[in-house]
Amino acid sequence: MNYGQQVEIKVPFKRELLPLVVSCVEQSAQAFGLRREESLPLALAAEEVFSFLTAQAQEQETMGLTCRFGGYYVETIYRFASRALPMRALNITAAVSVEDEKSLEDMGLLLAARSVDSLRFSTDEEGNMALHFLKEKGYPEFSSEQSHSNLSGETSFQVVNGQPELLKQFAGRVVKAYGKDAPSFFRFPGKLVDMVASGEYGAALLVDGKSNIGGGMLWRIGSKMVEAYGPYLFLAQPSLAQDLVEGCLGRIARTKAVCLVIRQGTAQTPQEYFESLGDQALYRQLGEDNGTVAFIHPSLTPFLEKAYQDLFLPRQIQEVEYQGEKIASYSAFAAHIDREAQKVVLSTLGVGADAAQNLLEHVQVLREEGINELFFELDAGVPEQAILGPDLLTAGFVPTLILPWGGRGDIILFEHKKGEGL
Amino acid sequence: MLGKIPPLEKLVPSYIQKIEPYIPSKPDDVLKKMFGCSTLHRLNNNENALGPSPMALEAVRNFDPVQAAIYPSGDAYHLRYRLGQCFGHSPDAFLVGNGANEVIAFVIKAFCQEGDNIITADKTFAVYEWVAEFSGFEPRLIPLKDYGFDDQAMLQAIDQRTKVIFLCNPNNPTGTYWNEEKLRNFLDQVDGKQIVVVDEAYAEFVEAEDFPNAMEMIREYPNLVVFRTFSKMFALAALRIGYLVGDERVVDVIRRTCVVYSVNSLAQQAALASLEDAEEHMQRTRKLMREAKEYLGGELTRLGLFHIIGEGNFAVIRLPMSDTLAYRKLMRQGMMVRAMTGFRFPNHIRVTLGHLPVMEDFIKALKTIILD
Repeated sequence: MNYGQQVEIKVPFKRELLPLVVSCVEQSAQAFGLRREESLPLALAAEEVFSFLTAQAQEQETMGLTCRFGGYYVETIYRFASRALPMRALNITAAVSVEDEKSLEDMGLLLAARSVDSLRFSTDEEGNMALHFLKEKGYPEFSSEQSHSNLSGETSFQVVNGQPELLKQFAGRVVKAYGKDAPSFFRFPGKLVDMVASGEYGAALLVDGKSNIGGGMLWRIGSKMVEAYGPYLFLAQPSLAQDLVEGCLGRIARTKAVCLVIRQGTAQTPQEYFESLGDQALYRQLGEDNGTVAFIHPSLTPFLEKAYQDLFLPRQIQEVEYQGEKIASYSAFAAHIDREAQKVVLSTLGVGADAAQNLLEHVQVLREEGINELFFELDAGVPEQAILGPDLLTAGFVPTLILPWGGRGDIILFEHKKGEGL
Repeated sequence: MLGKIPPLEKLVPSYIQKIEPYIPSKPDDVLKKMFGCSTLHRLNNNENALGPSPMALEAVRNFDPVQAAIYPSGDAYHLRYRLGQCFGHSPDAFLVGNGANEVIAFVIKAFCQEGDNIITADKTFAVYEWVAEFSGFEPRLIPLKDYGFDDQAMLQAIDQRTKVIFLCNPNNPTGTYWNEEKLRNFLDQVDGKQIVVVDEAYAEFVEAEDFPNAMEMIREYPNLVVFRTFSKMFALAALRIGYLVGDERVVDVIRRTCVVYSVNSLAQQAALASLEDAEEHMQRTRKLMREAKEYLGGELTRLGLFHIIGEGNFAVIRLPMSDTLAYRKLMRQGMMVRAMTGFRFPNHIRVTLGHLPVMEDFIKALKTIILD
């Protein structure tokens, strides 16, 4: 199976076609490598999404369904005409009342949203909507009993691209040397191989003449921002960390990416290649930044002006305020949850009139679930998001840093202070 | 009613989808406003600080505006004849393009088909790689060796599907060059099997005595194609005009892919005039470059910054910080340099050499950002 291969069908919104939709998703997912039990959450999502949309569909309307092979995951995408999608159902905090019939209708979507590894919502230029559900494959975990050859500081290393066997060795060495300080996917060497093979990730590895791995870097290629991990070094030669960073930068320098971020650097990360964005990230741009517009609520202008001054960023700040115009009734926020770190990063799926209350509910629920670190990413490149500024401040979020070009424009990262806004 | 947006994901080939369009820098007035600087020195594009030659300036001033209504000579007839006289080749050995970038595309289109590849270096002028990529051909990028093109590694990378080899001589951005012996050895080993392009965009700046006369070598090596531009030494960058020269039979093939009428009349007339006082203009420019190189080299050494000042009108400097951050900090002070991550030289900047007062201002600005 080739990465990116997909199955596509176009289905009229007819209740009797539900088995076809569910079957298509389930069988495609299994053909793309998911075990049966792994494919079931996607099938459940298919059932709930199609049923919900069919109940509200108009005559002659159709839904596009795509099942895509991503190597280490399967993605199902539902495309349909613009309609009042119950955005609130996609919130992690969505509550269901048994006395509220409307709420019960939404429950299925809520279950669908929670049963998969990732959910994303998008719209196209014509206002059509798409729901993306993603389920990852399961992989055997690295066995700590596996041994690797000892490395010699005398050996010379070359920076090479990640080949499967080298990547597996790299993953194992990362787990042994860095333990829980490294992202959890390193514990699954086969997954790392598939991640790189999918083209969504890149890797630069230090290899000696005997195919021993002396270190490596991994990066995820986003639309504008590359997120890198490492550099991981398995012997004490600081110059090798420079080689890895330069190897990484050389491989992404002429791609679509405009910036690179390392959210969790290692002790070996050579600082001179990066700009510090506070304690939480190392950052660098890949090209010359000649400016863009930042849309922001006036309450955040002083913060933004200072941040741009400190970062030498050329920006035109355009203030945006809510002035009573019609907006959607409900807002929805995506929650990226890292349970190990007890950390959640919220971002905007849709802006709606209930945003202030919705944010407060998110804070409450997540704090009750024991989440220690709570962040919100606001995209200053999306004018509609600017009106969330006052709601975020009211809910106890405080702007802490700018991630230039982290989204459509700059991302403003807010941190929630415990005890605030509740 | 608004038209329907085409299904771009399906219409656009995969090799185009992964390419980001090149976004040129914004105009000076916009940049000055964005960065809050009152003046802006463009030291990023290797333009000639002296500007066009006196004869070229006169040609531009004397351009008859009425001619704007008339198509230009579609194949730059007079210019090709004059170039032929200057360099001792037939006018048909020359092909003039809308800047040298255009002739790069002509060559690749003329010789490559699906499955073919081109060979060049990883850290050189990016356009050979870009044109190959967005045309769907594989660019094989050979790492530089000691900051110069690695002849042996390039030869080893050749296979049955290699059609064109691009050398940048002297190399942008490192200023290294192959001397005649090295170029001749390389051409001997290629043995006429591939087209070898020698891009001499900066050749007129070179003062080294062993720099090859590639135009002359075309007679011995018919697979050799030489690029030249009027944008750098002759300072006609805004008019977009460059050319290639090669064996007539090879150029005849390339001409089949070229866009006629792409070079405007003003550019053709200014380029013709440039050739009339070329020698004096080159001497004055080279003198300016010598002064700038001596000054800048000394200051950079005193600052302890690794730098490469080779042949050409530019210097490359390694900084103890991100080049893209340095770019923004220097822009605040009105100094526009080239951040080199895009050339695969992270933490390096490239600076165009120019008049001493500007070089002094650049050093002042540089000191503020590295001693900050």
